[in-house]
Amino acid sequence: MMARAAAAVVVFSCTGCGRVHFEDGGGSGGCGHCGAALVGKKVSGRGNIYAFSVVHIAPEQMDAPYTLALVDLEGAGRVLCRLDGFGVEIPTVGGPVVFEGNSPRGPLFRAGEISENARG
Amino acid sequence: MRSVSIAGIGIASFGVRTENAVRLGAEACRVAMADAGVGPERVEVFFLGNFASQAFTGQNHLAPAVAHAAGLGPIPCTRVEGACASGGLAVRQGALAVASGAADIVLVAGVEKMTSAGSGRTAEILAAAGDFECEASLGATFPALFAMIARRHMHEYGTTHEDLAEVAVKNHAHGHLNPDAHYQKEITREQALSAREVATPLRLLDCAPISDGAAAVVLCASEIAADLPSAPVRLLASAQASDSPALADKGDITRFRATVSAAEEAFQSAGVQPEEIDLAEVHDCFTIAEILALEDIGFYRKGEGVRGARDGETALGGAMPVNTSGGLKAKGHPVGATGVGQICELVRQLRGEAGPRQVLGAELGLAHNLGGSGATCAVHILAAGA
Repeated sequence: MMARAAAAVVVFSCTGCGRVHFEDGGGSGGCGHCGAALVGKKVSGRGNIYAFSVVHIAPEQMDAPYTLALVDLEGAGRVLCRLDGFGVEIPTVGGPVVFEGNSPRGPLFRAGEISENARG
Repeated sequence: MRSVSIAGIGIASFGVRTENAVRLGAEACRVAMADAGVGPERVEVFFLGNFASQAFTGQNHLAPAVAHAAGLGPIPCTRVEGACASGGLAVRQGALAVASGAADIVLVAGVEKMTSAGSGRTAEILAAAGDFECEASLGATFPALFAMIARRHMHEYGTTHEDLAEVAVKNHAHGHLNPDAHYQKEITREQALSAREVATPLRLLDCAPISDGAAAVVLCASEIAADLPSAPVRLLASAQASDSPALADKGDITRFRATVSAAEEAFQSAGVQPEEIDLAEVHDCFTIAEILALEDIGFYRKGEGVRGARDGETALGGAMPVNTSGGLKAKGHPVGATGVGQICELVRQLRGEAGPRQVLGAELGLAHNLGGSGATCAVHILAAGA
C-alpha cells in the first residue's frame, strides 16, 4: 500500500445534527443539512475505513470504477468519501487512510500510515 | 379505531411493460376492485404509492390520473412518496382512513414505470432516495450503499458472499412459481457468485431488477368485508418508522433502526410474537437487505440472518418461508408498487390461493417494506379470517 503521512486539516462539525463538513457554511453560514452553527476544529486528517465499496456501475456523468468509503475520522466522526491511491491493492475494513483534499465528488482520502488507533 | 380488512387484491404483472404508469396503475385497480366485488362507485378514497414518475416518465400528479383511468369518482386521490417504501406507506394511509372511520372502502395502489430510462439515468434517479448532499453527489448509488452495509456485516459477523448468493437462489426458486414475477427462472449458486460486479461485494444477482408494474388492494371496515365475496383477511397492524437517509448518520449500519421500531410497534399492536408468523415478505432490494430485515424484525439474532436461506428455513417448505412471491429479487421491484405487491402476496397465501407456492396452514403473515438505505420502513401484519 502506498502509505502517506497525514496533514492536519480543519473540519467543521455541526452543533445540531453532528454531521462533519470539510468546508464552512459559505454565504448562508451554518450546516448545509440542518442549519445549526458549525464549529471549526483542527484534526489529524487520519482515519480508518469503516466500510467501502468499489463501484462498477456509475450514475450518469460519472466514470466507473471508483471507490467509496465510510471513514471514521479521528477527532471528528464518520464521513462518506472517495478513496484513491490504493493502486492494485484492495482497501480493508479498519485500514488507515489520510485526508487528501476536497474534490468535485466530495472529500478524498488516500491509503495512509498506520495510526495509533489502528495499532492499538 | 375500527378493525380493517383486505377485501381485494390486484397485480399488473411485474417486468418490462410497454404501457405507461397510468395504465398499469389502473389495470391493478380494476383487478383489485373485481376481486373485492366492489365497483368504482363504492370507493371513497384513493391512495397511490409512487416514487419518481416525473423523473422516470415525465408524468407527475399521478393519483388523479390513475383514479380517472380506473373509473373512480371525484373522490380524494393522494400520491404517497417514501422512496421504495411508497407502497407500504400508501397502504398505511388507507388503513388509517378506514380505521379512523373517515371512509368505509378505500382503494390503495402502487405503481412504477422504470424501464424506459437507461441504466445510468435509473441509478441517478434511485440515488436521490439517499441523501443528495452527502451521498448521491459523491456517486453513492443504491447498490454502493448496500454494498458498504454488506461489507460491514461481513466484517462483524463473518457473513460471506456465498451466504448472500443463497438468498438470491432461494428467491429465484420462489419466483419460478409466480406467474406475475419479472424473473421466473431459477438460478444457480455459481451464477450468483460469478455474475457481473455492480458495487463490491455485490454482484448483479444480488440486486433486485429494474421493473415496471403495479399492485392494488381494496381495504374496508371489517364489518363490510363479511358481505363481500372474497375470503376475508384482516390487517392486524400497520406500523411505520423513520431514520436519517444518510448512512454516515447511523451508528451501526448493519441495523436499521426504522425496521426495528416499526416491527416492534407492529408486533405490539397485533399482539403477536415473531415466532408466531407463518410467512413474511421482506424488502430484499439486495440480498444483504433480506438478511438485515430478518435480524431487525426479530426473526433471527443479529449476525444470524444468513441461516434463513443457508439452512432452508426461509425457503418454501421451511419453518417460516420468506418472499414466497420471489421477493423484490425475482418478482421484480417497480419501486412504488413493491409494498402493495407484498400485501397482495400475503393475502393470496392467507386465503390459500397461492397454488404451487402455497404455504400450508398459513394464518399470520408479515410484510416489511423499506425506503432508501433504512430511512423509512412500513411493517404490516395480516391474519387469515374475519
